[in-house]
Amino acid sequence: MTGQQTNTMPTDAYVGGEPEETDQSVLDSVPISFEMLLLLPSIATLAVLSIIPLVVMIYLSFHEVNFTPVNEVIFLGFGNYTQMAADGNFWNSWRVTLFYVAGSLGLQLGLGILIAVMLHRVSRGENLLTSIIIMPMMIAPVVVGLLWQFLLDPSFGLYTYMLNQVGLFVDQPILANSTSALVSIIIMDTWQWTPLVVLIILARVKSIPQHLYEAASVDGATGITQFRHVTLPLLKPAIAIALLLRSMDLMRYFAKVFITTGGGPSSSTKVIGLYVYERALRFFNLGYGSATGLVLLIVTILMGLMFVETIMGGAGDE
Amino acid sequence: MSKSTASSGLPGPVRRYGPYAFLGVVAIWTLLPLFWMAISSLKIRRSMFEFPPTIFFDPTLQYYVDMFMGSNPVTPFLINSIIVALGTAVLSVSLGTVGGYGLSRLDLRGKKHLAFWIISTRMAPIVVVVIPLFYLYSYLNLLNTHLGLIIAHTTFNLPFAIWLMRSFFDEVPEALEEAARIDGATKWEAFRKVSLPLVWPGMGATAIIAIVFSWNDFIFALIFTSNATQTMPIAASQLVTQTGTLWGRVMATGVVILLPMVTFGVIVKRHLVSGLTMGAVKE
Repeated sequence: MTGQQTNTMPTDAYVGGEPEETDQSVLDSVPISFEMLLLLPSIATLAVLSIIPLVVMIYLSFHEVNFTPVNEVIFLGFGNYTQMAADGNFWNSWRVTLFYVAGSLGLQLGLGILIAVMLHRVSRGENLLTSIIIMPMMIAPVVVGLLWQFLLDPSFGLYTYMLNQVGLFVDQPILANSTSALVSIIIMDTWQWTPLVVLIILARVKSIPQHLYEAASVDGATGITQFRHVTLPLLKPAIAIALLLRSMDLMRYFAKVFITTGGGPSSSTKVIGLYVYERALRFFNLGYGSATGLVLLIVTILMGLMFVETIMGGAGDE
Repeated sequence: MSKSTASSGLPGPVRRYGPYAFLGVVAIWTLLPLFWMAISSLKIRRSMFEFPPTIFFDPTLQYYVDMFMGSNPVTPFLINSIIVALGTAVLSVSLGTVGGYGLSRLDLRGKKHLAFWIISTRMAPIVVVVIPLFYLYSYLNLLNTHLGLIIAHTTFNLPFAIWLMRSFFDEVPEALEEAARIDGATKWEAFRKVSLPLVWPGMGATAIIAIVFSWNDFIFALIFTSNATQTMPIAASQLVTQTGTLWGRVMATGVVILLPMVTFGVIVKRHLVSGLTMGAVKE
């Protein structure tokens, strides 16, 4: 923790090439504050990387983009949007997404709270147990997808074998049935990301003062009653954060689905992200892909705002 | 459901050992797929496909040897992954540290909105970022370059790096900087010589989390790279072919992809919650 270390910092590159010579008087002559000046490179980068793509996307959503035989962009007006309204596959993907997101959120939140409360109760081994449960979060979604495909394989999968022992899926592959395929991708995501919910809830559970429970005990509240009336209300902000982060990522990512089922059987697991990806970058219909992508973006933002309202009610800024 | 000793109607041993039993099941549920992956990567072809599956077998390192020495070695993929992950980490952490400090110390009425805008850029669905970037990259000749993928990964790493570094700088008392300022230090010097050395661990954690996100990405890599710049997750996905999946190679490649990241995760465990929640939750 000495000043000498700073000489090797990568951040030296900012605010001119030679920061040692940056004088306060030079900074004072700049019309914006020093703090803003430091923030500016990031804001500029994010603006370029978010606003320009957004504008491009809005532009593309009103056009038809062709790559063959020649590159051309044809104005369509609202053509892509009217096509979307009548596109049954588009609406099917939203239906799938609704089940996928709602199912995953419910399962992960329920399990997450349960595991966090249990972890808080044990006096030994918490450290080791948390080390174990964070592991799935660090694994690439492609690897998670391939691993679960291996476990669920109809002819040699370990989980298929276990389910067969209790008489399930004996004559049908798990990923070949619409319902069990959808349930499988929900369980896959639950295996990987419940730990995040656990960590968020656990941090909050730990901060609940013991005297609240003592007071509740005096009033005769025990066990489940105590959990419902003391713990749960205090967990609300943490639950909102968990829901926000998980719902955003469930909407954003589709790599695990892409790898395991590819959206099948017969589009029963084609979440909206995968659908937009296919339109835009597999069939190279950039215009229609952009229009459907914009709808996805708007829905995601609205969902995010809903949860942020809950969080920002209290925490948020200083 | 608390640490309180009030009776909950359950017999003592259940209350006492119940949580351990439950958490034991959770641990098995978590580890079983990883354990199965690890031992499958060591099985010879014959025992891998046995049904019922076997636990006892003669281990072989053949798949690991093949992965580096056999046909289609993963080495170039591995090098690409390392270049892109390190490039992304350097870019995100340097911009994020300076920006996070600015955001922490900024005195502005609309700061909350600015902070939210920064994080909202990370919430955009992957495809929503990918489509226009693909269109722009095709004009800027950034498709199939390391730089293109590094920039793409920065779109999701920078906002979170700013928020995370902001939360670390928030914990550094401003009084320390003010003391340095009284001694004649400029604002830049107060930042660099006083606050920056105190957030070293935070920068390390931010870098590691950026590396993990970049290393694990599949969709950006799938779209923005081809032969010369493909990363490890692409290598793994290519083992699934029309003529069948090379499961031994898949499992071995999976182990190589996940082992360094899981190790990182355990190392930065303490910062992981605040990292993955972008500082919204502190442990």
